[in-house]
Amino acid sequence: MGLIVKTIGSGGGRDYSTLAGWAASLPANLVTDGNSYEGDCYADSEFVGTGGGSILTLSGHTTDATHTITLTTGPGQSFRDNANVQTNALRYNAANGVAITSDATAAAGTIYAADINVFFSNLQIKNTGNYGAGISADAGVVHTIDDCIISGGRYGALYNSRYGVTIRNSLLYIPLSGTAQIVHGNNGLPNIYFCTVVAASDVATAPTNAFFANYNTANVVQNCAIFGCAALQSGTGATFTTCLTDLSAGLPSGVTGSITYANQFQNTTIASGDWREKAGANLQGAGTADSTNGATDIAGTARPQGGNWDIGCWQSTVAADTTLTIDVRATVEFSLALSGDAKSPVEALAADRRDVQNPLEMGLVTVNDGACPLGFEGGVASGLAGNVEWLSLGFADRNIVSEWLSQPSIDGSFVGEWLKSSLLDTPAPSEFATSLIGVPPLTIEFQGQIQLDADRVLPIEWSALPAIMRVSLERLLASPSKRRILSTPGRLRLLKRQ
Amino acid sequence: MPELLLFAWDHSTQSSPSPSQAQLAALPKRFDLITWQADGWKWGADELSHPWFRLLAWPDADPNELNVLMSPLLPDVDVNMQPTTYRQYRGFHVDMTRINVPARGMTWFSDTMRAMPQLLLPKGSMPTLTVATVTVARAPLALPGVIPV
Repeated sequence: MGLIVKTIGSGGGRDYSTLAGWAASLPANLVTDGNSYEGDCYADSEFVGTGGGSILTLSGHTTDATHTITLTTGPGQSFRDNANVQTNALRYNAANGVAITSDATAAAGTIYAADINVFFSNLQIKNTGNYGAGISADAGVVHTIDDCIISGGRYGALYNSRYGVTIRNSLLYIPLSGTAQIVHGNNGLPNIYFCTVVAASDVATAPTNAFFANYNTANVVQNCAIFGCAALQSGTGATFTTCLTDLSAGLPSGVTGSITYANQFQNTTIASGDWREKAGANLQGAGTADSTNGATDIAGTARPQGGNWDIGCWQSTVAADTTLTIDVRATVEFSLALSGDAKSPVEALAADRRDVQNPLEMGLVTVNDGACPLGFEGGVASGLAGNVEWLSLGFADRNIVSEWLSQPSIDGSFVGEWLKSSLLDTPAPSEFATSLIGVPPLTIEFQGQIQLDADRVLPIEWSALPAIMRVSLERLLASPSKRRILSTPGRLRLLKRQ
Repeated sequence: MPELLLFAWDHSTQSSPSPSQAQLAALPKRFDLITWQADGWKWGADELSHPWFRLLAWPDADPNELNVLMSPLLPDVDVNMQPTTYRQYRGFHVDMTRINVPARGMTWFSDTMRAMPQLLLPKGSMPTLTVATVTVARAPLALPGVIPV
């Protein structure tokens, strides 16, 4: 059993320039042929069909679970691969990646798919015909749609679909007035997971229903955002789980209504629709965990993020799950806290307070003079400048014997070793303090301040974080877990953990 | 100058196992127009070489008439809106025997080796030859057990 992959696009070197050509080349019987077939679309130009017919017809082929037909995008060709996928408006836009449109009309889809075991992924599909649809199907159809943007016509984004169809992590939207539905099923509805099912908020007449199903065949609608329609559904076969809508009446179990549409998405208009999730949306973290159907969102962002499963096709990346990794190349990137017990000569140390220009000097003084037989509290700083002030503040805290700033570039007799051990977290602070001071420590308690190193990842809740930014470490570290750290600005490198 | 991608394979006699009647209805048939593009279209390697296809450059072809060739044959329905015939891939096909430039249209079409990858119908040389004159409707295929209306 093999996989026959063909490239499709109008650029030079492609196997096919047209979707119709590729489809017509498929053998009638894939099972006896022994192969699966995959068409990889390239964004050489927009795939445009005119004349009122479907640009692609998949019908009449014998397939099974291991002899399938896939239409997807070539490497780097999808809107999902776009370098600006996180900031691009989420709607059909041929400039962002492979895009397929036609003026297919009279219930025809831009794509007509009547075969079973067909897979669509990473595509943008739009219908501009009179009473057309994005993808239309036929009785008995079984296919799977993942990570697609489908801009529907008056017959909806999906027409004549059914319970054997699965659609996940996709945007199904209607940018025109007077549609009957967004998803139409001729025998139940598709199983729909993590989809954004919406009509533009400024259409003159909203879709009559979000979902219309002939026969009440069971299906699942889970973790979906459903907005902009006059009613939720016609038909009763669907089981809803953790869905949100702006509708307020006639809602079945599993659908929470009266959610403000404008608060959920970046833009909901016909002209400028952008169905990326808005910060603070009710969709955020409101979904049900489902790694089978929602491991990644439409933009390729892994779910969950910080434990959040967002409803709809978009997963927020700026929630509590945002992670920061301290760049080890930054100037100083650690904090180590050791405190003494009641016997600590805190008072003496405070009395011995002196201003020095170099915090390293202060550390040496406190150790060598024996005024502070215990350890220190490490800090974080971007350099030596301004550290004296910070040291002074440290002395004012009676629970802290001293605070010591240092810098990796300073390689004093023991400072370098101490820095090394601190960064590597070995040996343990108490052991290290013992070796450093030369006398058994009375009591050394690791107070729990965060010790930052290159691998330490901290959760943080900020609404917008650029890739590199200047931040206050105090804000950074104090916010999530009340860690106390000095307020010296540092240069952090924000890395997104995949 | 439209360029036509025509289907030359006959699934009913050349595919093995032979597809069912329902499949044959749904699949492209010999002489069907798969797609057409404007003059200068950069066809893919397989479209130029695959033995199932033929490329016909027809400068005088009317796009509206070509679109007729692209339309499917929708099923007939009874009074209960139940289909009585199959939906077919195309409702019309090209009668190649009527394309003689001179007398070689069918010869060219039958060459499975595609020695001449693309046949050019000289512009203006046959003013009476239009797409409409070579367009032939496909016969409906009744569903099993159904008497066509």
